[in-house]
Amino acid sequence: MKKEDIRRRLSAIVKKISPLTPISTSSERSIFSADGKTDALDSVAALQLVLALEEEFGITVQDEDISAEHFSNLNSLCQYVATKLPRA
Amino acid sequence: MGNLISPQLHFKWIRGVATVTYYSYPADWRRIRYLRRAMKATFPTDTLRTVAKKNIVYRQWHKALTYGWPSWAGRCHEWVGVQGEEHLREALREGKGVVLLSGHAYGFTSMVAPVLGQKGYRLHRTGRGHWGDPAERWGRDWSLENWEYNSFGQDFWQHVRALNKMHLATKKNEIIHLLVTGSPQGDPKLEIEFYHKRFFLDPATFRVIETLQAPVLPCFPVCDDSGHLVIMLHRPLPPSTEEIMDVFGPLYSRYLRERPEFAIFWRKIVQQKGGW
Repeated sequence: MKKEDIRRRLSAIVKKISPLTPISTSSERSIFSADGKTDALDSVAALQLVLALEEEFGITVQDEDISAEHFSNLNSLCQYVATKLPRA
Repeated sequence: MGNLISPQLHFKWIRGVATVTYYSYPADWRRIRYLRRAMKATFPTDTLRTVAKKNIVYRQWHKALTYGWPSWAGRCHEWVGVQGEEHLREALREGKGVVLLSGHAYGFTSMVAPVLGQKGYRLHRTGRGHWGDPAERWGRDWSLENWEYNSFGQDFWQHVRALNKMHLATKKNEIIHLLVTGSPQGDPKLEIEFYHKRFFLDPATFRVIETLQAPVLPCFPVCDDSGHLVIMLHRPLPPSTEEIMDVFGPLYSRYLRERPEFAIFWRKIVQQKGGW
């Protein structure tokens, strides 16, 4: 699956979970309230995102993978999903 | 030593000491001051005094049970009962895991996981570790094999991992014990009747429940006048906030009204901004 396709599907997931979270301005912008942003996803929304990733991409998110390294913004999340998907 | 002194005897001793500290210990005066302020419009002075005394006894009894559990676990059938266990079995048959929902700081909440774990159920208790991680408190070699404590911690990602552990547990058809906090401000849909004052349950807990999609059992761990612990499990509810509030709201309200002595959150709520 192309990265652009992953990014598009990820944007749709985040939009569905939290319509007010701005994701189009910059893929480097954090989408989580860990950084103190009020319009960002909180921890429950983060769990909803994990469940949505598992359903949408058929991957399993390991507990140790839930960290700022993989989940901080759309770019890192896209990279993470790409590594989890089986290679064509 | 704990093995030699029965829990019943220990309860009598605590009740005696608490009767003395009710009159003589300034920390207890401060605690019951908030309780009195919250309930003085509802109860006559005599009733209020009885409730306040019992509150001090049960506060100490909760601590004694929590810390003394390793010594008493082997004979817990003598002093612990579970009512409504058939509801738990019924809910587990659905295979989606189960959420036990209790009021935060109401009743003997720290005893639910150890007691049900002792009965062979697999449980996860998640919290902020007010009394520390039980495994550390009791020692790693003491059996926690049927239940575990997931700490939310202070870090955002640790919080998410703890939530994810709950999700993984429900996938394995295990039990989660959640405690819902209350505050004087909040969403009107989550308000419960509370001594003619505003009391709102925490919406985040209900969002977690709706995300996990596991059936919910209201769970109230209380005790009788002899210190005999009873974990009351009520019939399973679907994981929708509205349907939970239809049953859990009035139920929690009734427990608070009929057994206010089990609540130990008075100071926190009275002191909150917008409190009473």
